[in-house]
Amino acid sequence: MFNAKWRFYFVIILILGSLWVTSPIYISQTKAPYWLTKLMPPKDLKLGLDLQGGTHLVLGVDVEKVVVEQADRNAIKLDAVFKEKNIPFDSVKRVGDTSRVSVKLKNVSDEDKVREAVIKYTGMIFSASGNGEIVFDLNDEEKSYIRKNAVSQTIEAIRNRIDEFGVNETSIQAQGSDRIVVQLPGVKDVTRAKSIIGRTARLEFKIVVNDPNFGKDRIYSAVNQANEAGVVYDEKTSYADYVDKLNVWLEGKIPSDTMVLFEKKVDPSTGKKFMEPYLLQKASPVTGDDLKDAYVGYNNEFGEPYVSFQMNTNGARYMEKTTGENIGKQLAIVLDKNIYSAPVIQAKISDQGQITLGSGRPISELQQEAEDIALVLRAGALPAQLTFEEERVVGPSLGNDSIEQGKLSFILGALIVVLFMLIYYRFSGAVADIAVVLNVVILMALMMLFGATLTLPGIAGIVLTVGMSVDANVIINERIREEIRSGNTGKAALEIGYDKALWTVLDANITTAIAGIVLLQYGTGPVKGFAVTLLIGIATSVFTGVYITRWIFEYLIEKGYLRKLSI
Amino acid sequence: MFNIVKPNTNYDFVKASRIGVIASIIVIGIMMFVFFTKGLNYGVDFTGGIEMQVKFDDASVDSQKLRTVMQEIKSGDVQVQKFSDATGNEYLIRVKGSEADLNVVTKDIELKLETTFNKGSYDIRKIEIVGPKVGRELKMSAIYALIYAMLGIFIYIAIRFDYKFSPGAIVALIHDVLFTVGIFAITGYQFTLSTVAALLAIVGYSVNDTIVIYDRIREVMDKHKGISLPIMINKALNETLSRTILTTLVTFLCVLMIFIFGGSSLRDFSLALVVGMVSGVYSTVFIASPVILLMERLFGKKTAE
Repeated sequence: MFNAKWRFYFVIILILGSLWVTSPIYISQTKAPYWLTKLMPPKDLKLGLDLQGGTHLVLGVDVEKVVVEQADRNAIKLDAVFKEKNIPFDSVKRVGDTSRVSVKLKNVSDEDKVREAVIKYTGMIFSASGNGEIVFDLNDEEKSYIRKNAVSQTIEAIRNRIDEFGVNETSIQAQGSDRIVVQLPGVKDVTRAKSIIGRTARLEFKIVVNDPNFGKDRIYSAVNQANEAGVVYDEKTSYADYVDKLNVWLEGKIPSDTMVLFEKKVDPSTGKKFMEPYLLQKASPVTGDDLKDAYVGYNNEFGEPYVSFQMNTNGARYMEKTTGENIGKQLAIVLDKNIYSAPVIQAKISDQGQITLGSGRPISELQQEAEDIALVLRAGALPAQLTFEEERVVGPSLGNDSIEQGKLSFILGALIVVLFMLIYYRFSGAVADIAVVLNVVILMALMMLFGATLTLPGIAGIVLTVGMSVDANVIINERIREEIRSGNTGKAALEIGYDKALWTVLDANITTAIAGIVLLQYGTGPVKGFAVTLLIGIATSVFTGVYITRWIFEYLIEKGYLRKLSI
Repeated sequence: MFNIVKPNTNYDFVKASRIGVIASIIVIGIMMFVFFTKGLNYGVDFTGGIEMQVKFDDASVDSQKLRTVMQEIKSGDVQVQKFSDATGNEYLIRVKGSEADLNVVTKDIELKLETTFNKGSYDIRKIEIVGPKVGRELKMSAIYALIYAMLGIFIYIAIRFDYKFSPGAIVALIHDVLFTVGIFAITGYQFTLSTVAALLAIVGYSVNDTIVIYDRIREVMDKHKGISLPIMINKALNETLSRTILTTLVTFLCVLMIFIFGGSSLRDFSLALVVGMVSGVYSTVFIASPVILLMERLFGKKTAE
């Protein structure tokens, strides 16, 4: 390897470098004099949420629904294509809850034409046919693209929202194929953070259908029938799921191309909450995709907050067309399937609109909701609905306690190890102790260089590493003692001892590393932090335990300081 | 030289291991009986549910009072438990495996605390909400993780040593995992994600001891051809005895420090480590090595030649 001189410099530089990298741990950035802080490295030790306090959220993304929605869009597209091409058909519909679309033809002979058109316009693949019905499915490539895209778009939207909410050092990452992990350090109002992240924020404008043959009473009775049939809105179902199920159930029982959505209202005389159903056109000619901006405004009369929004050029054009064609009708403003208001269109509207939040609630609550809605509208809608699957919040007080307790157990553990080695192996023990201390310093330095996160189990991992790091030296020293007993001189015993013990130490540590790697794959958050410290600790402890201690011995023997080996 | 174990000991570990194996089978048998009848006290990580850690400034708040308050919550079955080793007046509020929307239940609990006690007189130090789906998945992946870790170690030992050595190490590891899980079943300590992490760490460290001894067995085999395998194993165990005891003692003391001073958040983690450490050294000496003998008897005398 290196000659002695180079090895000496290498070790010295390594030690000084590690001390420099880890200096933010020993020296408080705020208390140190200015010139000293200028010399310190910019990177501080990253603490896990369990130590600094914060929120860890795991969100489930309903990717399958996004796939199904693509099938819906294809069905609508095909409807138009067949009409344009004059292919007579009974229906183009999505099949159940799947991504398949079924086409029912009037003339069986049109099958070839239809298959050609479907492939050309939607890229769907043929899956089955018979009795004038042809079924197509999205191809697997497109499905997996849609799923992946839904997750990455959701991450993007959440990032935008959190950025506006103003949280620093957040981490938003995909986990598996349909989960997202969001880490928010030090957020106090978790409920609000959740409501901002979790809102789908899909804004739609739908024309209210005023069918003289299908009035409010018939809508109410249809909803009641669905209730009796088991389609109910309760604690176990989210509103969005309920509305979806309801509309599937209502299909065929209400006029075609319409749907039912609700406005949440409060009866002014009794103060009771109720949901008023509306019959709406299924299609949304304008959506929140064409939004330019959204902000909170205030009603002059009572100072009630509302959300004001502005459409972009494209949105304004559609809005103008839609409102122009439907003057005198009601336009429902729908956010996440809730009707917020349904004003009568008095005149053409182009690029401005308002979402009123209803009344009967304290102004402060309305104020916050208005701000949140404006924020999510600005930040963009989520492509898919989110569910909160896991939430872990650690308060700052617990985090501080954990740091103190972690420090204490580390100091006690290290003290025991150092004293034990010193007493048992005397001089060789002191050399091993240098390795133990260096091991911790290099381990911390590597963690800070890699930007790895220190968690509470991670601290335990360091204590464990301290305990285990002496193992290499115990193995080596016991070996050296054996060699001395069998008659070798100090120097020869040292060399044979190190050579023979090397592979034992390596084998023992590699098997431990195997468990560590599995742990890294298994765990998230604190547990992952443990695995990271464990793995880095294995590497550094082998290095310091074998390489550094041997170098110290050889250096001392070479310089003539060490005549007799004290072990 | 200061020795814990005098050099040139000659204990008959192989003979003693017969008693060891029987003792292990009986102890783990009882533990598994408890495990299957009483079951583990799974934390919310695995059952799904809510766990909240709340600290009260007011000393007059006690379990009874808090329990009565929490029983008024209709959306879920809320349990209250005094936090055993906290310095202050601290409680765990728990809802396990509820059918209802966990976010709703959490809100109800928070609201109840807010309306019953003065805001500012208590501190919600931790909230964990785990959906039932995630809980089931975590349980499965914990089992897979343990299997993968053991499989990896099995293969490594087979490559570096001999395939007849691998089963001994794995049996010892299974022994340690079962023993640790058994202690959790008997004591009723909460079994959480960090307990699983500790189990994997135990797998890693217990095999450490085994490897050191295997290494020595191999060396003894090379040096002393012709002597019988039980004698070789005994020789190897005796030669490495001081190392085994020293390392285990030092590491055990470190882990004990975490268990005693590491605080409540690390309790389930460090308990598993403490127990696993003890089981690990025992199984290395009394389980892993005799299994080599068994393998030898089953699969011929190749390695002894």
